[in-house]
Amino acid sequence: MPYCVLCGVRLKDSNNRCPLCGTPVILPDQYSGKAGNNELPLKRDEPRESFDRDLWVKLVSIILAVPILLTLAIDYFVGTGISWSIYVLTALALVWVWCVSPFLVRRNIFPLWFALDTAALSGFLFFIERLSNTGNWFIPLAFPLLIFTSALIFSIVFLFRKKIIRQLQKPAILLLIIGLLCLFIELIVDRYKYDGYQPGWSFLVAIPCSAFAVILLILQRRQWIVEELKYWFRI
Amino acid sequence: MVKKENTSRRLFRLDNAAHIYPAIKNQKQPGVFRVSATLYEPVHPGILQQALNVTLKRIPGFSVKLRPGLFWNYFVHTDDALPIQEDVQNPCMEITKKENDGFLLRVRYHGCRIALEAFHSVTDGSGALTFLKTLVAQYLRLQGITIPAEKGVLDCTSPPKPEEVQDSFRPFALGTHRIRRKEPRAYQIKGTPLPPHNISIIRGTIPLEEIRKAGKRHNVSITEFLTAALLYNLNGLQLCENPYKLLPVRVQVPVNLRGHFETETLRNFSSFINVELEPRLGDYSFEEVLKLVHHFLRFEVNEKFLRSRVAANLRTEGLLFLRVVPLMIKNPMIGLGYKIAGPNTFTSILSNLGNIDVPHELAEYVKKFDIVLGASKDTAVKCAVSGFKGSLRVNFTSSIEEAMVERAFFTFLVGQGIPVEVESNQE
Repeated sequence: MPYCVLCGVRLKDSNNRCPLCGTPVILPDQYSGKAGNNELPLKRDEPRESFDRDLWVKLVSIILAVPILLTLAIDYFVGTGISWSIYVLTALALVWVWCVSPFLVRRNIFPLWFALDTAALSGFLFFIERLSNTGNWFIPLAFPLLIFTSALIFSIVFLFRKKIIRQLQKPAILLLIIGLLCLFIELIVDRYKYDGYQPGWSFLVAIPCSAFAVILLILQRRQWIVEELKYWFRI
Repeated sequence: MVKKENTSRRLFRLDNAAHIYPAIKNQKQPGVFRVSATLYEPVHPGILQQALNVTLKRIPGFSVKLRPGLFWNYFVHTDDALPIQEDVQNPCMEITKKENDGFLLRVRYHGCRIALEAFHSVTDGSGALTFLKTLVAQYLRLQGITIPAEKGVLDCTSPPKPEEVQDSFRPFALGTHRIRRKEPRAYQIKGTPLPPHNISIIRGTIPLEEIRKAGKRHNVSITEFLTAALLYNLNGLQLCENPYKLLPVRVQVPVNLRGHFETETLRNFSSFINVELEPRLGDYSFEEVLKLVHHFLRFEVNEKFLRSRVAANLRTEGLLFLRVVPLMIKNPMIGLGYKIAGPNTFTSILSNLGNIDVPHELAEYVKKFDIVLGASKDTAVKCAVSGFKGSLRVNFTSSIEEAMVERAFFTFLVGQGIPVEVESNQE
């Protein structure tokens, strides 16, 4: 029967390493895999899917189909054909895509459904521009704002989910991104409205955001402050 | 006068301790624990299923499903059969509503082992052990072996007693003056969280005689010796980790109230004592910690103190504003209350079920018993102890990768001249 040379505890014949310190068992040739631990089950208890994806897709489709059909019918029979109802139809189609896109494929692939949602919103805005005859605002204004905002949201979610940033770095990065977004919004709006760039209000947002972000990043380096904040906010 | 539950209505009110678990239950805090018995012969699943069906009929308090009411959750008795399952490497995972057809327990088998995993709202360690002993006895009876109905083994031919599903907290403590001590934040064990749906179990097997001798040397009981060893080593870890900002180290020791009040209940009937070590007062030798734990437990574990502790909990449950709030709002309130006043106030748990006593006819067929507490995010390391056939089984459950607490504890025992055999589920 093997012993751990560091901990001094007796180990099972099947142990190749000490469970307490990870030290390899002395004379592994003699012991390892000889007896095999048949007390240990091989099966694992994996989490079961508690959310019925198919039911959700069907439910959303039915719930949205009712107002779509109702609006089309009212518009067709009360008015002079299909006119305003097309706006409702496209808006509800967008809602449908947003609701069901995460559940269309078996695995939850965030980049895939997020790209689908962004494309759907982009298509919706393009459609509204064409239908409403309100000038050329999609390409110079709406599209760059949409793409930039989506890229920022995607980066935040990616950083949070992959746990690349932690604790106080999270609000710091959020503040930096808010500042960056404001700068970009002002740039695009100015270019669209005045065909130039006059920095103004966005700096009033970006500067305090950056200052707070720097303070948080410095605080992050003081671990005891983080622990204290975690305790007080019960995180 | 003991209020008996109306078994004919097949509805059970949750007891005082049970209310909290449905409100705080999630994947990281499943509120599930496990008792298991290892036989000498491999388990026959078909016979085990038959034995389970009979045992569930005899112990109706376990054959229940949780239903939300308007103001409180309640249990509904069911006659459905609970299918047994194969054992897994990561036990004590959350019991979801979909799984097991709504049952709040699992019966598992692997090789020679029969295990019962129960949601803590249904029962406590003692109740679960009675169920397991009865199940194992019934399993053996179905194979033609005679096992008498004594020492915690119930007679499956007799009808269930209403006293077995009684909520004993009320008759025990209702109307008693309550003492509630403020317990500030305690030291928390930190480490790398295990991936979701994982649990680390490190089991140490210790000769009972050796640990009894060690306890006798210092005139303390086994629970006191183990609690002191855990406190001493947790304090040592804190000193290594951060000697400049010390916090009290507290170990929660559950107390079975059945020893203080005559009851046959198989539902929850336990309280707890938080044993504290204050490192800011100076360095402690192990002998000092032993003395402290010994006197603290002797002082606190008596009927009057335990009554007052339970009375405080009963009073919270009975508050008018809490009673009239719908369950939908009550659950988050309970969850928040638990988060504020619960896990931050202690460092770890040490639950000792004591020496498991079974009829000698049953002992011939059972090699060992084990108890395992479910892992939780808030209390990184928990410990459960039970003794049987001259061996003490110490099961550490952890939700972190590092095994520093387990290592400190077991190497300390080895240093005290107590041999320890260690195994893990992470092989």
